[in-house]
Amino acid sequence: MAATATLATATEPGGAEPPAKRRLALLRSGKALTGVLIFGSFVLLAVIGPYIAPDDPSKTGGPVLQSPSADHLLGTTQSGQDVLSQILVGARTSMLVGFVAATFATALAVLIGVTAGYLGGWADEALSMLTNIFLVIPALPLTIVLTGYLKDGGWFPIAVVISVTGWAFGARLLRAQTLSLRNRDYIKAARAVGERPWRIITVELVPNLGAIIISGFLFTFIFAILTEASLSFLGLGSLTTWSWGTTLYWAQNSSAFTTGSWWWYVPPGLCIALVGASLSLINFGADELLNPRLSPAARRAKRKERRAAAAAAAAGKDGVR
Amino acid sequence: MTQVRFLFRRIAFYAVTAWAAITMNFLIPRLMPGSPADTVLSRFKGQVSQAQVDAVKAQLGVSDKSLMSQYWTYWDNLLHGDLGVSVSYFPGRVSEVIGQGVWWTVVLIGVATLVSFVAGTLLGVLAAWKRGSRLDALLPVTTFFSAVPYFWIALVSLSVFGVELGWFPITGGYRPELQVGWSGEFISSALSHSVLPALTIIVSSIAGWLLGMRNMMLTTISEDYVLVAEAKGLRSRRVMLGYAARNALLPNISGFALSLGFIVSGSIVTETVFSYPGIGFLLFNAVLNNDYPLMQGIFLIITLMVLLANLIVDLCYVLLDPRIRQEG
Amino acid sequence: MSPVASAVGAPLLEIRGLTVDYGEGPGAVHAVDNVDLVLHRSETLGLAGESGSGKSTLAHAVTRLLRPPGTITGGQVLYHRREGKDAAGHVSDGPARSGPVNVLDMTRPELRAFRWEEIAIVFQSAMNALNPVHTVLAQIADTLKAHRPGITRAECRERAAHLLTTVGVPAARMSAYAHELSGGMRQRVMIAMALALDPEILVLDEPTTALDVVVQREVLAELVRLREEFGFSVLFITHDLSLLLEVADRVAIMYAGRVIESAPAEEVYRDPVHPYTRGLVASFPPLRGPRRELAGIGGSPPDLRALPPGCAFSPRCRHAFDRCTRDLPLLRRPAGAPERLVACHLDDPNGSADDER
Ligand SMILES: Nc1ncnc2c1ncn2[C@@H]1O[C@H](COP(=O)(O)OP(=O)(O)OP(=O)(O)O)[C@@H](O)[C@H]1O
Ligand SMILES: [Mg+2]
Repeated sequence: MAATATLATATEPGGAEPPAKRRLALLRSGKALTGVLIFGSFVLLAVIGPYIAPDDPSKTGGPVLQSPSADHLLGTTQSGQDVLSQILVGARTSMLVGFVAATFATALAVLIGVTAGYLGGWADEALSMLTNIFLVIPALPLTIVLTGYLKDGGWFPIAVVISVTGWAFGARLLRAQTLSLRNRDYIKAARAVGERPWRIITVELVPNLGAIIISGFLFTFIFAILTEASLSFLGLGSLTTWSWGTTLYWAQNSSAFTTGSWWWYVPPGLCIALVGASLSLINFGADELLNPRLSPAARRAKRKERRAAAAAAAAGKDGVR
Repeated sequence: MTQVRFLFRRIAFYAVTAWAAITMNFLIPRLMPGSPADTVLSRFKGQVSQAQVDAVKAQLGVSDKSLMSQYWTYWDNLLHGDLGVSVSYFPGRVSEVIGQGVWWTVVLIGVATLVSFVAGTLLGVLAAWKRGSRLDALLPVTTFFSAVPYFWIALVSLSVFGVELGWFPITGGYRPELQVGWSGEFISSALSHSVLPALTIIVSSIAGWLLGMRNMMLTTISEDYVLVAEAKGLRSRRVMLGYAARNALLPNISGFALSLGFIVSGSIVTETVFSYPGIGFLLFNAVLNNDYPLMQGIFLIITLMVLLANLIVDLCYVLLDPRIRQEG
Repeated sequence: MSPVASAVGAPLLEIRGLTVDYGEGPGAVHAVDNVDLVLHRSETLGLAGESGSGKSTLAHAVTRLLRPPGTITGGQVLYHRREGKDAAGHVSDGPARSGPVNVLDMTRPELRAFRWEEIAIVFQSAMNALNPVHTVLAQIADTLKAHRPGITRAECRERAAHLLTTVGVPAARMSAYAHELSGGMRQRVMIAMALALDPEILVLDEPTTALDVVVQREVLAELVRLREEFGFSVLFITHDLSLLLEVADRVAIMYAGRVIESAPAEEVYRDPVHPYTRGLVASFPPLRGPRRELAGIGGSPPDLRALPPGCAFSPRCRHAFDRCTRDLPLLRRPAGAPERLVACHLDDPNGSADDER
């Protein structure tokens, strides 16, 4: 997915703006705001979906394979289930998996990324190595293998597995940002007066990493939804609860794609696609934030900054590199 | 020399990662709840010798021996290319089963990734160079395609190009009545079967390269050396390719590792949708059939191949960047 | 309207009424506003002014290197080519066309041929002006190949070696990459590259800003020597007036996108007229003679988006009177100073703002 650009910039520590400003900046970007809005409406759907669902999604016996009508707004499946109800109930499962996975993954990312960035030295080497290992190992095969052992456990183990395979990205971003924060004056001051590391990390550092933590959370959230959809679609997810992927799984199993029962597979696909699109939009916003040169207004400021740095370097040692 | 040091560091990193993946592969069946060995053996009842039962048990962690000595045995087997016995293809060896599928996947992903990388990068260069032209329309379109999961694009292309239009076959890797080999008939059948899966992978992954390259180009275009190139009176194409794009390419290549992870993950799903005979589809079947040995073997092979691909990309990077940054 | 030709030679590059905007409409920044400037053959013209006064913008406009949102909204840049050379710098067989060419009217191929062949630029930051992934040789060679089709590799090498030695860099360094060179070396390499085609004009945009003082001196001395050797004209841009007074024949001072004073360097130093120039001259220690009290210029640089009416310097000017906040002062030649131009209402005998330009 569209994560290439973000990764490319992830190794550079962020700019020198105060964190509060950056947090606002994410929402100031039109793309990011649209993404957050789309995503927010799905969160709402997840909360109220099961209550407004017209029917039990598993209840069979209705008219079979009916195209949308007043009775069944999104038609019915091959066994006469109401597609709209499956979508509405499914929204909650998808969101729950996403939320739980994102919570665990973010906790791991903060723990590992911030610790690595703050402690430096060997701890950093080891934790960065761990992070990079998890970044390189392809996530879905590992997820599939792990869920292979956890079949029929419901959605919760799946969420845990996704968080285990999905924390590294956020940890890498957080480490880079922590590294740059670590050398700010107020952190140095706290260290100079002998504050304990854990206090500095929790009180001084983590609040200032807010923007990155939040965008990392959103990223993992949506990534988890997409992964769950893939797993369920493959029939490797939990088949006892409804999710969008599950609906697609049954649709494919019943050859809906070859018989043209579009009302069965288009709605869940569209939901997943919209969630995915919101991820991309948020990702764009974050990208512009982390790579200021992409936004034209900041380009000049960067140049000035660089010139100053170059001058300083030259004055120091007629610097190579 | 810094280049040698860089490569050494990368090789060391991949070695450690490979070790971690191999060890993880050893630990997973031993740490997960439930007893996979019982599941497997219940399917074999009465068909296998005691020696084979013991082998399966040992492989999945049911053993009186200490964890350490199990680990040694595991390594020993691994180094002899022995990944155990497959359950679903019994009595086929895991290594043989994988050996049949792996080339389908390598060729499919390899070609599709190469096409997607080259085309995406070129389009990204053009999109940045001709900002404000009609090429800008590419951005929202490709963004949408990159946002939706692979299986969705696979399904849509299957139903449109396969079912509605009937242009391409929708399932399998070749016509089943054909003999696998180098015959022209087989090759053309394999090619036409691979069009839709490859198209899915290309369409889904191209936006990542395109957008990444475009963003990096916008950064390098504002660099002074590009201005100098223009001031020197070089041709526009030379400035674009030799100066702006040449430098923008580097960070995009170093982001390759993550992208490859996404592509491989997506390809597994794509293979499954098209029942393509690669190891992604095999992995899917292995999970459905509780074929734990095969599952583990495939995970291992996929991971090792991804590491190898990354190492190759790093080699290219060394050739392309005289500076070599330290960060991995 | 152009200043009288000084001893150095005939006009080579004439900038007339050049105006550059960043952006459009009411939010546009007039980074360069109606600037007239003449560079003569074999002359070193210094352009000074504080950061943001539009010096780099002027240099980029003259070479047509402006990037969006920058646009040239008016004026001419006339280049007087040498006898027997056509607009593109090639020696022409046919009858020589007469008269100067307007750089702003050139087509793309004309411009490509004109660049570097006639005007070469050394940019502000030595650090980023070299392509990090190509060797020095490759970057000199691609310039040569672009302008001298058919040149062989061996000739490129030879030329590169010669150029590098000329600027004091060992010829062996031609196979080095930018990151393997020190800041001073990089800037020398840039200068060598600028000389590759024997240009008529060298534009130096703060060529030494990023260097430490010692290296700065060396590079400057090198430049002065090269100018004597090759005889090109120099447009030397800097915010360091004291530096200019040493190397330039004539100096023009920019403020808020306009030239507010121009005169021979010696005169600027001895007898600055414009209050801003006076402020600049008073802000560095005297080159020779007794020490005097140093003084800065009060106030802050103007916001180009919202310039005050009248003289842009008036809010910071100690001598400002009511006319300064009303009428825009235009360049005029003060009495008894034939080579000087000043845009200031002080001591203006005519009392009218639009008498003479
Ligand atoms: N890309 C741009 N977009 C908008 N405004 C710009 C842009 N580039 C420069 N400017 C504005 O134009 C004015 C002139 O800038 P310029 O870079 O020419 O100044 P300068 O005299 O070269 O300054 P310095 O000594 O810092 O190099 C400045 O006020 C600047 O804010
Ligand atoms: Mg400048």
